[in-house]
Amino acid sequence: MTPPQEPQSADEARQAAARFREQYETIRAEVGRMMVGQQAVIEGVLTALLAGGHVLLEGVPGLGKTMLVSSLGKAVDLSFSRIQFTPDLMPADVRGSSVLVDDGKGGHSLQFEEGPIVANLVLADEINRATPKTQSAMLEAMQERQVSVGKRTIRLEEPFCVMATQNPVEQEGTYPLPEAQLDRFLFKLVVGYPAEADYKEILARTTGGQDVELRSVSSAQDILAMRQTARSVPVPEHVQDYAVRLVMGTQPGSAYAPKLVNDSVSLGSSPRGAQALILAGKVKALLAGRFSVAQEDIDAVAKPVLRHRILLNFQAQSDGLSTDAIVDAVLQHNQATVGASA
Amino acid sequence: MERPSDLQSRFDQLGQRVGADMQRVALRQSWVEGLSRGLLWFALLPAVVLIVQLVRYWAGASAAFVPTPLVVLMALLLPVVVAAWRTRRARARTIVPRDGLQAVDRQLGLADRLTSAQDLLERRVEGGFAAAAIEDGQAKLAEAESARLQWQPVAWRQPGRGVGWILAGTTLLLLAAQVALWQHTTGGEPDRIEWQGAVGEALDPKESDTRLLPDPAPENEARQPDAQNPMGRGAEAKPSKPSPDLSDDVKDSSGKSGQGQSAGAQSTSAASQSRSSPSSQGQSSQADKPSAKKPKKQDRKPKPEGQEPEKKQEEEEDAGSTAGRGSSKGSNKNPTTSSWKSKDQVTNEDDQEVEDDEQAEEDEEEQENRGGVQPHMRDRRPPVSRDLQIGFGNRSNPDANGRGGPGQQKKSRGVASLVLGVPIPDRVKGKPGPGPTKVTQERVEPQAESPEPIQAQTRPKRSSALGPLAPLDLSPAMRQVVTAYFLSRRQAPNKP
Repeated sequence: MTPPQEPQSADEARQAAARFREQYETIRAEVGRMMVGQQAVIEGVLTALLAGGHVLLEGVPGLGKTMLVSSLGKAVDLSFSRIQFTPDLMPADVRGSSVLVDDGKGGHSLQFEEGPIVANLVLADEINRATPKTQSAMLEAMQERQVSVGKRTIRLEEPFCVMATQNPVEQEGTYPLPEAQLDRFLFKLVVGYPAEADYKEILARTTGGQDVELRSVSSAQDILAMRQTARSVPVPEHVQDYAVRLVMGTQPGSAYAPKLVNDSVSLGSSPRGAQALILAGKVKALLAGRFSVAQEDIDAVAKPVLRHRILLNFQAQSDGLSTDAIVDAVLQHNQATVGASA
Repeated sequence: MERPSDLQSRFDQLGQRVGADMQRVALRQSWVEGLSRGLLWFALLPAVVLIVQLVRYWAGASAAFVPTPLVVLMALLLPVVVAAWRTRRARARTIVPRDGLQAVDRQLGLADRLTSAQDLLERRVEGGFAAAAIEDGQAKLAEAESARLQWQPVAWRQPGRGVGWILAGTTLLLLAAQVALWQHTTGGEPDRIEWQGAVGEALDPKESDTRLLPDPAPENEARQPDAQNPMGRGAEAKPSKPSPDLSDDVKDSSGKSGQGQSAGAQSTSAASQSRSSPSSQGQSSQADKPSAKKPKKQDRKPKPEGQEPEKKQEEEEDAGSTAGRGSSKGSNKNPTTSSWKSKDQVTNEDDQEVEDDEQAEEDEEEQENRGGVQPHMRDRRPPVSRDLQIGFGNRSNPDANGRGGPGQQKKSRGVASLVLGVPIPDRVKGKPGPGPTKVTQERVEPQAESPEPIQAQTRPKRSSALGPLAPLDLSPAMRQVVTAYFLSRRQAPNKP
């Protein structure tokens, strides 16, 4: 498959941006046929997919997290696999292993069977229920886009996207994701309860006689082309500075950290946070009809990008402070700094 | 299509123009903020001057230490100085064209289109999206150039506070001026009259004579203006020196105030009395002892029936509580005999006293029935002396004659048992039945100590001298060689 070319003229860029928005809206509408409401979550998942990142979905049971990801897999026509993480799941169950097969000549031979991780769209359901050993089997796949089993290394086919879900309640018997793995997720999206109007639609769709059948409206090539388009969006210098200051603002003791961060945060975002801000900001800029990233694009993705990269200290946890409040404080501080200079 | 350089200059011009506007607004805002903050000094300076004036006035010095016009001038100038300093700081902050473009973007809701286009032009970013972004910015540029930007109006942040400072400063200024003016009109030295009156030699004899004459009417007249002035009243109320023109009545009344002295003398004598009064406890108890001892011995022989309860009570009083009532009955030489009871003693008074009383009664009855003191009772040894001092046991000091020199032994009864906790048997030797035993010692179970395990470590090779080393015992010849070597090194340090 030949990679899509970067637009060389303004007209090509406009056409690419228009196609991008059109494709995006088509996928969103198709997923929206199955998923009622939760527009912000659908947009977040699609943004992460188009930015080339992974998504961690957090919400109480019954909100349609798993259905959202499976619907996306169907709408985009990507190879989809689902892994239900349980405490007895082993790394080999994720990556694959060699199994003894009958060679048809009366003998047996070892044959490597790929695990469910080898797919375009991987749903890691209730990822925090597996042991850290199994969770770490995802690390290489998420960052390096490859899986190593013994001496065998399998390159994962692009687009590759891990969409993990976890339940914020029922923490007994779970293994919280380590910081290294949390950092590999581009977004952490919080799935909330649907609105009152959405309930009726949900009931009508799920308790009626007709089941919704999703059709594939896009392909892996389309997704790759959209990713390439998004990566072509230029980032002005002042926006880069803004994103860097935003990330540094989450690090206690830095020059851009507000007092709340210094008091409440023990660990701030890594440079991966800045990368994620820019990548997601590019997608947001295209969706907003612009050809370069603006500060408001960075602001729009700041919370899903940074909320899981901030580690609160004990004082903040005991005070019931959330990482969203920290991100709000950093945004306010950063905007005030920019406003003072302009 | 406009050339990139022309477009760049248009963006820059717009940025500079807006930046200059921003600078002007910032300067005006800094000036107003500086003034509003400087108004604090407008009130503070007169307050300080007024305080100093009052302090100097009460100290007897001239209150007008600084001219009032100068105070007013400084109070008016200080806010201006503060405002000028803040404005200078604002002027030092440079506003680049990009800041101006960002302000335009923000005001017109262009989402950084102008700033991004200017940045991409300046950095000469290649690519279709960069070109599209520049064209996008160019399309908005004409709109931005013609737009009239709305700047935040320069305003006082807290006008109420500023007005308050102005009012307070004006009031204080007026007060300070009034104080200076009043001192100027009244001679400025309120204490000088008293001082001159006290030092009569320095005055003109005629003037001093007229002042010393008892002439209350003119004095009253002279003081009337002062009495109208509150400051003058305060100045008059302050001195307490008796003036020479006091009347006899006034002198009498001052003599009566001597009651305060006599009262003081009474109070001191009372204090001395209380100091000399003996601490009744120790001595009175000593004095009571012999008198209480003799009647008890006399009372024991007749043994009237009606006096038994009293006798029992006396016995109980004599017997030390820690020594056990059975063993120390009737022996008040026992050093532990005391009505004082230790807090540490583990006693159950209810049942213990009943048992002891019953035993004592039975004992006496037995003795009476047998016709006197029984042998086993004669075996009773005196209680063990538990004095902690080196002395004479229970005997009195033979050297004590009551005329100075060594005195009687000091009382230290019960100290050992109270402090150390001594188990005291509460039974008579040879008597059947073990009897209750009082243990006043707290039992502490021994506990095994767990020392920290000693970590075995490999000792590294020593790299330097450890501790003082004894000088090498060199032979004289070798010592000469070593000395010569170091001397040669010192003379030619660079020579290998």
